[in-house]
Amino acid sequence: MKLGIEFFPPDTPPEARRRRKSFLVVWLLVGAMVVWPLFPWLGARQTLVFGLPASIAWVALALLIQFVALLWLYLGEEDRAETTGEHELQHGSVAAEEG
Amino acid sequence: MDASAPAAVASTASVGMVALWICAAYLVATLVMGILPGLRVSKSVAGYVAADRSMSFLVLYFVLGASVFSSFAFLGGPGWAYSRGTAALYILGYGAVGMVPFYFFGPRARRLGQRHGFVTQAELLSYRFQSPALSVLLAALSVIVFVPYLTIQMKGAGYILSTITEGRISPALGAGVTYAVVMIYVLFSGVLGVGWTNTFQGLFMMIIAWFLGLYLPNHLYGGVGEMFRQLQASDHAAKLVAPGLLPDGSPWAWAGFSSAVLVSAFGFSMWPHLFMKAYAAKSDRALRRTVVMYPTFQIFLVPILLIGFAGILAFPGVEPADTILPFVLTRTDLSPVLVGLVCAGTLAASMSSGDSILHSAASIGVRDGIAGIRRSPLPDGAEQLMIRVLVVVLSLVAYYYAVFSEASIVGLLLASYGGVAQIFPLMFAAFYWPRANGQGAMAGLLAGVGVNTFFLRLPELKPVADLHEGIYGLVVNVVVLVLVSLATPPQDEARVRDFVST
Repeated sequence: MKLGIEFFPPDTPPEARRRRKSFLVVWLLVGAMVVWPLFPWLGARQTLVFGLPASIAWVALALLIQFVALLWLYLGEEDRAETTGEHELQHGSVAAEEG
Repeated sequence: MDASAPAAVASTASVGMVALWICAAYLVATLVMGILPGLRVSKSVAGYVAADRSMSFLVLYFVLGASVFSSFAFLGGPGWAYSRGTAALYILGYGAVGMVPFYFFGPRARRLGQRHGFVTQAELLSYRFQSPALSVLLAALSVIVFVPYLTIQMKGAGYILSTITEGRISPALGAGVTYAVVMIYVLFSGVLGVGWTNTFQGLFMMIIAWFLGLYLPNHLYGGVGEMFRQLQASDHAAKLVAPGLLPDGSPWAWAGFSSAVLVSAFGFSMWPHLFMKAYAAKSDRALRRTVVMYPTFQIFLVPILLIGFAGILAFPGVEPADTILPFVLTRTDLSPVLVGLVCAGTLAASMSSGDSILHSAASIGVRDGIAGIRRSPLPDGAEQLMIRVLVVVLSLVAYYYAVFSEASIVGLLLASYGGVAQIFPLMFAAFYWPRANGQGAMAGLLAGVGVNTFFLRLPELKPVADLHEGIYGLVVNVVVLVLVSLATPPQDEARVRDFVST
């Protein structure tokens, strides 16, 4: 029995681990963007950006970055699952999952 | 009073009547849409609670999206933007990061649910930690935090119908009629009824949000940019400076804003009604896609907040602030049909969250609470009957608070988040920390909830006054979970591997 945290099941390939780790860094960055100190430092200027207060534009930017990062993670994992046939092995046929 | 005033009053009243008829038609349509799916789902508890694990991406997307578009967002969001300015951005802030853990937890929970027959969050955790007592504790916590959440939705429905009819329908009657409809389709169809009505309601709300959020600033100020320029030049400029204001009009501290974001982000994916949808998902892929697309729902909150900002200069002094949206609606020259559609969209926001909460609260109360105390599963028929009885009981309890409580919509939810966020450390440990055990989980949860409740009741004793009480709870929760787990024997290896290596 290990004492440490296990982020990945033992059979996770190195590339999948790297992708998830990179995503987690972006996730933490987005989290930092919406709280102190990054938000007041960079996002709370008293100017308008595209007609919106800078703070609203800043949070919308955080949301956009999170969306792109999630999409990148998902598409990469889907590619891997298609290549390795993971969908068929773990969750039945791909066709059955479409919905 | 000027000569045109009686005509204006009469016009507002007729707008209200048209809007009311449209809301009534909407309620009937929702009732039909909610009942129909119940005719094709199996009569088992898995059918009633987890839709026979058959929910596709589209339905899941709207069901989870409905948790964003609740009364909290549709009324509380504009209410906060109106009264507290950019403080309302905390809702967008936690939404940006709060759903991400579900991308990782959700598919694991789904696979384990399929393997072991789980349909609730507590079943998963109590199995992992081999603790029936944990199941009962989680059931109690879930039901306790669900009541204010459900109360919020009922209050929202009451506000809408009361404001558009200028008080001719009382908030109590409005909330009562709306939730009678919700109760009927939840009783009849279970989660599948919730899913299909949420899809219908979600589409409706998306259109309404963008339309209104862009129309009002344009109509009242000549555009979004012009609205904010006028606000910047007015006495309300402080509302545009992040992190906004407190209810008394003084600036909100960054510690308060940031801790509200963090507690809500930790709690977001832990809401039991949301987490349970992992078991209803057809596949891992459907679940992951839903999380990926979730920010597209979240971005709809931007126009919703613009509605509140639009009211600041044009309609000062509206009380309670949570009624600003319906108030503005009845005082613009929108066609009565459009006003009715917007009001129906706002009712949809209330109902689409309320139905899911009601269904989940009752399922959890019976499956985890009562069955946990009995230490043996109830017969299927008895369990379904008890769930339905609890749907009625919880509706009545929330209705009582909706009618008699004076708390603001966002304030109520923020208080609930402190409790629900305490589930996060347990969920994380269940999947990622093999050494975590039942004693640690139980002690951590009790300590976290205890500290959160203590500081909620006695805020003057908080070491840093501005920090959300949930932060203190989370810190104590994690420390106790780790220390007690390390000081007590580890869990059965095979069971741990089932979770950590899945």
